[in-house]
Amino acid sequence: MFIFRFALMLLLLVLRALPAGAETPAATKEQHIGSRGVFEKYVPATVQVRVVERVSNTKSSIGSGFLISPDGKVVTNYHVISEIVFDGGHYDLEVVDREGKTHPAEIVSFDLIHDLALLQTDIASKTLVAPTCSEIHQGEHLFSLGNPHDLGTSVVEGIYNGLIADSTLEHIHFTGSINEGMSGGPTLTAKGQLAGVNVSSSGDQVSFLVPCKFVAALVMRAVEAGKVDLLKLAAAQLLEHQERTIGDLLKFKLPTATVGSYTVPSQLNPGLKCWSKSETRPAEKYSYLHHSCSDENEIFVNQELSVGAPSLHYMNLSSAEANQFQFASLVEDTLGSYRRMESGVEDDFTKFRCISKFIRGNGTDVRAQVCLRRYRRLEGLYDLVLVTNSLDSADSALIGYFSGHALSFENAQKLARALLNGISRSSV
Amino acid sequence: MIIEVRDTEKNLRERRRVTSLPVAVGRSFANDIIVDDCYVCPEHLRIEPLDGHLGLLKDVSSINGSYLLPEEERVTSLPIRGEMSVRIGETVISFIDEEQGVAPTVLHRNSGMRSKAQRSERASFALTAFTCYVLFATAVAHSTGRAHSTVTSGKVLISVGLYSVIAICVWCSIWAIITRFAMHRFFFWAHVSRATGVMALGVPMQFVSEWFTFNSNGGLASSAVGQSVMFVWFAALIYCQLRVFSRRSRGALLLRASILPAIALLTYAGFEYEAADTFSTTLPLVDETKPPGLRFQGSESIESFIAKSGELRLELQE
Repeated sequence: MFIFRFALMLLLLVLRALPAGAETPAATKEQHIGSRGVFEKYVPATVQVRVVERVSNTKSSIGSGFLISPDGKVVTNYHVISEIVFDGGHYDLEVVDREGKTHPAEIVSFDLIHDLALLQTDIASKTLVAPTCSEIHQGEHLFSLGNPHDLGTSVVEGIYNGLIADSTLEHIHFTGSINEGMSGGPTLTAKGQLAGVNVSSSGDQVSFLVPCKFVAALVMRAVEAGKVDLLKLAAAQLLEHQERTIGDLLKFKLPTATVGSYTVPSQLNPGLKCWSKSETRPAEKYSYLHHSCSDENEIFVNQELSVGAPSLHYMNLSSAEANQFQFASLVEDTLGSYRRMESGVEDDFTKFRCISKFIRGNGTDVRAQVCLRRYRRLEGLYDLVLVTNSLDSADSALIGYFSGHALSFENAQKLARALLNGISRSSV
Repeated sequence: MIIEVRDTEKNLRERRRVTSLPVAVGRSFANDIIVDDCYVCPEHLRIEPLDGHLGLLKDVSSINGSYLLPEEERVTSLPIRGEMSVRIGETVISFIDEEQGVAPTVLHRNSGMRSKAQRSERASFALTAFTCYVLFATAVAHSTGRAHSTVTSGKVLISVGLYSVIAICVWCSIWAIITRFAMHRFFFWAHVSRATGVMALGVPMQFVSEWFTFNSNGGLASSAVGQSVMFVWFAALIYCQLRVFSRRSRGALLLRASILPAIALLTYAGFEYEAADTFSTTLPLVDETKPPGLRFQGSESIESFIAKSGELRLELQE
């Protein structure tokens, strides 16, 4: 282990001292090498990462990766190798090099939040992609390498469009086609420097990269941490992430929006996308205003679980025509429709446990139910569901449904308190 | 010999002097004594001459049989003596020696007066129906009253009245149709159709529910108490049906009537338990501190609510 750490430290020192691609004599700092140059120089450093089902010996998932050190360190996406983290007993991790030779691999460390993983293989390669980062300018050409659809290593040209605006996670917006199987591959500048790691795509040339700085940080952290328990590491990273995000959120008064005659917490952070819709249903004698905010950049944890910022759904029902019995039933039905919105595999979670009360709210009385479930395999993490409905009017009601994932118990309580305090009747 | 024909409530239908034998008794017009009873065969009994006795009673291979009273012993052939009664279907045939004095007077069914049994049966049915209605209405008032702050019990009771009226109308219609058309040959099918008819009440009840509350998961359906009462209601209906058609003991009838709703109730409870145990936003049906149907107001502060949610941590440790 000591030798490994020493080798990596040495590698980082050397890499910091030298420009990217310096280990291949043809590359110079200012030289633009173009797509052909990138392909020729860096394809040998690009590998395919495979997760193989042990009994059938067939692929379960594939992705790309790239060699960053002479002793066989490979960087890929966390989501490519997540099965090894959660179900390592059933899967093997393999890396296929340029020559098609398969090498066993194991996870050294990962950054679950930014979707990166560092693997150790026995590949000895002279061609490396150095995790050294430099400034990139919007409009600059980038070249993405990877193994799309298991068709062999390819290079895709695209444009750097800066970081995604209003996102909880820092991702580079890359205008180029990153396809399935290219996840984990490197994206390089025209000078051969690492810009980021392929991570996802929204189709139509809209793709996303993990910025280079997180690769460098992961490598540094791996050096410092040594051998780790993978599930504990995942839990620790999620806890740290929620501590930072929820902690930041709760420092100030929650941002609010007006939904019908109520003021409610909304757009808890810039990454949340909020939408509203209203409709009148004369046949059913009521109208509604629906307002919801959800996180479109969720953090991938495993095949069954992705976690994002707390999502909010509000339904403001109003009716001048329905009698009170009809209106009460409508409210009850709408509450019922919010059942079981949470997904997840039973083995990964306990069942939800709930507590319900009539609450003297902040300007409006509400019926509230808080439900929590514990992550069985990720210690210290809980999912929160808070359901409320207002009790202060005979012909108008506000139903609120909030869900927060991968929170500490204390932060779940703090968030529930802040949300309940944030609901009030608007002064007309 | 005098032959009296009575129903099982001892109401006299016919009293006839028989001067010559044989005499045929049954439902068809070819008989000497025609019995208007759907459980009696077209040719049910024959009374033939027998020396030393009033006659010899012979069951003519009837389906439902002939029973010597009061023991209810099934008989196929029996010498007739004075003061003997035999039940066929829902009819009692009594044989009386002419030597006896003046016959006792009895109230006739159509005289406008009711027998004690009839009156008590009707009263018990009315009581059952009323109790069911009150229980049913209270449960719905309780469950839907909780849905929103401003529902009053009165409004819910009126709406539930609609359920009950429709349910009773449908039940009576089915009962009437079956008793009119079901013949003893089709005894089995009569039972099947009766049970189906009673259970089919759920359909109009659900229909009314949907019509009144927009869709199927409103108020009543989301209430375990409401559902339980609905099953009790079903059981009561089945019991009443069975009482009309069967002479078994009350305990046996209650047992039979409760089997189907009990199965349904257990199934429902199972589903509810599963749903509540997995994840449910169903808010509690009974809040001990609040009566049903009244306006609710918050009783806890946010701080106290959040503090109580801390108890969940222990529960989640399992």
